[in-house]
Amino acid sequence: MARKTSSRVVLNRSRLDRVHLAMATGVYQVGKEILRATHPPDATPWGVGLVNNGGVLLYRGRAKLAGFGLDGRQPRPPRAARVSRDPNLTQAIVGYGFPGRFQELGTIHQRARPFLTPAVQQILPNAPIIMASVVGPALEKIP
Amino acid sequence: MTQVNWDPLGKLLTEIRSDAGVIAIAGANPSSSPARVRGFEPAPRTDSYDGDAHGPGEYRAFVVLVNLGGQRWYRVPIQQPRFVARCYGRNPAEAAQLAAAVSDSIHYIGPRVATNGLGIYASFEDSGGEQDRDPDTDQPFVTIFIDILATTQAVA
Repeated sequence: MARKTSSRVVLNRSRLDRVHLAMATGVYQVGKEILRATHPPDATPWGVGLVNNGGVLLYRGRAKLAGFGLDGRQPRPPRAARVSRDPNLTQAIVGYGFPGRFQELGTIHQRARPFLTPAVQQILPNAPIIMASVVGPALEKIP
Repeated sequence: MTQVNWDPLGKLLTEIRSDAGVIAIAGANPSSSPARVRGFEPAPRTDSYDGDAHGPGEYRAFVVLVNLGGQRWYRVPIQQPRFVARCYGRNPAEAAQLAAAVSDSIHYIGPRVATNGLGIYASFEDSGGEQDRDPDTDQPFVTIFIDILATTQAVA
């Protein structure tokens, strides 16, 4: 007796890691674009600024996959950041070091001068396009 | 539809100031009417008011709302601004209580229209809050974020 035709799709789990890695690369690229779109307020010494050390960190579960710092060094994870232990979760952290928080949100004696939130809101609607440009070619390489 | 001032800050200030939970904290010690809920920056010291910001031992509860900016939609007259509310208290517990009261006054509130006709479809505060101390006065505060879905034109 002939077997019935099936439309079942078999998931090739051996390729999932490479798919996840490709997606993570896309998320990382979005983080970098957000960082590039920021314009931290300058302060003395002029041109160097009070807030100049921004970075992106990429995690898969608790494992760090990549890091990018505007000063060329690997950024340290912020103390307040909590990374999920879920090994299937890709997480990116984008931000600036101290005292970026006080510049962004203000203090009692200093007005808020937001520079990160506007960049996030500018870039996020374009995230699918940014990710596609990176993820697409990476997925095509997966046999 | 007619053009209006887009900024929903005024409407938010009015709503938060009129909340009983906020009044109980930011309208007391010393008594203040309306409650000490400010836009952009704390109230400065003037001839008739000694200002919101004080040093240790003289702290008073107040809230500062700041517009962090937001995306305007391309085709429809809608904006999605994000606000930060810095909720200062006389101690960390009061700051947390004030942040919770501000959150209650604004979270998951449905459609309403400001007096100038600006429509606010919904407002949310689900950031959870983050405790800190002011770097200048050391006053404890809690930061929460408010997301708004509003129009960029008068709807009424």
